[in-house]
Amino acid sequence: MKHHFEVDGIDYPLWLVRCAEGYRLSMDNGVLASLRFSRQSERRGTLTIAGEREPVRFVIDGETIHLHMRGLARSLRYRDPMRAFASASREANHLMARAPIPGIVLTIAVSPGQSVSAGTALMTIESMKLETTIRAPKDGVVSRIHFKEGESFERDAVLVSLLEEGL
Amino acid sequence: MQRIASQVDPRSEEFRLNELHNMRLASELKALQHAIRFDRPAREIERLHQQKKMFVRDRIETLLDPDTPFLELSTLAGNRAYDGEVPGAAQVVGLGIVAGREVIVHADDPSVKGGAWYPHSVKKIVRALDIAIENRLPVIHLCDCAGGFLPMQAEFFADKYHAGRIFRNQSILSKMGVPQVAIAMGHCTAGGAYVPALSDYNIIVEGTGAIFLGGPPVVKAATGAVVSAEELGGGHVHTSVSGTCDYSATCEAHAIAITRDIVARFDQPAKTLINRAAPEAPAYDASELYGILPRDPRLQLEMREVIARLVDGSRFHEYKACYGDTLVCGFAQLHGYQIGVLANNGVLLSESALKGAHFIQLCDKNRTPLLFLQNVTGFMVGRDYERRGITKDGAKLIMAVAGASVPKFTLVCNSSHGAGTYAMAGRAFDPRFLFSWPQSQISAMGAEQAVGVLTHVKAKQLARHGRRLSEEQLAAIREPIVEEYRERSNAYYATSEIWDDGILDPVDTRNALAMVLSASLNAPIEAPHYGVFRM
Repeated sequence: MKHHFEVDGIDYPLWLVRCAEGYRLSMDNGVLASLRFSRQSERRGTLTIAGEREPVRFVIDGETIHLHMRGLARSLRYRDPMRAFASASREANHLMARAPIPGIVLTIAVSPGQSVSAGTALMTIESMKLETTIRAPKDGVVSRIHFKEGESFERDAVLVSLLEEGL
Repeated sequence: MQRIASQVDPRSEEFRLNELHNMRLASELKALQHAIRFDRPAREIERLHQQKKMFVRDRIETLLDPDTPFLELSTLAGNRAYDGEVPGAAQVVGLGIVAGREVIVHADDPSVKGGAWYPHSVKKIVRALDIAIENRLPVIHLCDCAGGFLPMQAEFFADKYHAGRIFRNQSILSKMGVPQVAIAMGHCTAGGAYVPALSDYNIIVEGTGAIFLGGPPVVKAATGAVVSAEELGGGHVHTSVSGTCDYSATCEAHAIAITRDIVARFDQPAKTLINRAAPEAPAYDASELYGILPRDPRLQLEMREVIARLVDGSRFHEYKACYGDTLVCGFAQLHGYQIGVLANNGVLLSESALKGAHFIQLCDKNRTPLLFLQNVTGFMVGRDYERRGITKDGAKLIMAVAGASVPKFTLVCNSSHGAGTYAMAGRAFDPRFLFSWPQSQISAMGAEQAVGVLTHVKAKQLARHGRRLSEEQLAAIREPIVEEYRERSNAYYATSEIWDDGILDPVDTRNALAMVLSASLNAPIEAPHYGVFRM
């Protein structure tokens, strides 16, 4: 699994391979180059790409690297694969508000077709003499309410389904 | 150390004919390996696509560090079983690098019979976990198994090295502090359910991953209840209700990203230190092995020519060159690691056995791993040899091989027969890894000798009744034996039965040995100690 960096909104998968001369940079488009870096100070160093030495200045700010090299400034954003894959797939899914505990529905605050934003109260439930508000986990449109007022449900039951807005 | 001076003439007729023959064998091996890795019916690939699953090879590719080597083991397991319908025994196993760590990868292949476990699948998984235990290698399991193939349950269920051994080995690994990570990528049913459950860490892929002891059809049959796979053991159930799984992933790539992050956090134990030098390529090219290996495996092969094409700078410090010269012993470096080499240059005699036993003890004291290059028809038989104690000297060599604490590696170069197989660190003697070359032959006795022994026994029986063996009777004994040997003494049958860890193209051998040497040093080496040597 390669590392992913984003520059100006474009994703670049790449990998550094250890070799006798230091490292070899391998990119998805087949570009290969030998690579070496020597750091002179906290924000300065010399990068040797395919034998050519380039002085570079850089600032690392969390997952973003600001880089100044060959008279140009660039910002590279590291895309953590765990987060990137998780959000890429989740965005396309149906959204659901589930029951945290078994109980009965007290009141329903929304109706199908209604737009809601993350945190909007969807319904109130009662369990073990305790009232709990069920809220929308994300922005969306209410597609289905699975129980009527007064009906009981088990733990983990889907109470309200949402659809991504615009779908 | 002295460089071996090769006596081979690459321009000779003999060399050229050998080369043609052995290159053909190597290309046949490559073609079969490729077919077993990639040839699947279109409907199986289409089904994976519909289920949003990656092909097993792509899963492994995504898991490994890019541009690092992957040594696949037992690729041809089961190739001579089940009419060839279970390629690779529905399993992929290998040694690779994940987040900078050497690990064993074990993956079910759902494009073969739904990833069901056949007897050879179980044997292959047990062997993978034995490798992990012996070399202290973390294991990544990519699980997608429909359960055992029930019509053959008697051949993989109840015995010591049957499926239970998978779960026993997993538990032992955990107890040893060698971590395992499992991803439930598809249904993990019955025994398959325990693989993620017994892993120190596990991840389940939402939507496609599911874990249950009994799948929906079993629940229906047993209790009458109708329940969906997702409700019974899907990602949501196991990560938030049952606690069977630790992490939930939105897709396979996400699960692999989580796995890599977990492996990156593993404690990286220091490797065992052995004598090392800077690596150096052999002075003679490995491709010359094609011209050196004889076309007929019964022909003599000068093993120093083989050693010269495996070790650093072709340099070999030979030990006791003039004594017991049918066993060549000496020190060399392979990719910088110092090794002790024992190679057969003819039939084993008392002197060769004594020399071998002594040399093994030298290496063991010196923390030098052992490489056995097998080309052995056995120990010499005959009255004089028995009187000089060939049996007790052979026992010394076997005692030394079995007792050595340093890692052992075995390569079946050409022939491997009789007690020679054992004395040269055969499978039963726990070499850390054992590989074969494509033309090699392995059996208790050569085919001709077996025919000789059996016809002699028959002739003796008949002689008691005053009769003699006819030509027809001779043929009736001979034909089935020759046929049996043709079928079951070659490298392809051996690797099918997982008697080895795979067949290697001779030119790839040096790199494969370097990888397994490096992997073996994840385990500490015990102090030398032996049983009683019969003097």
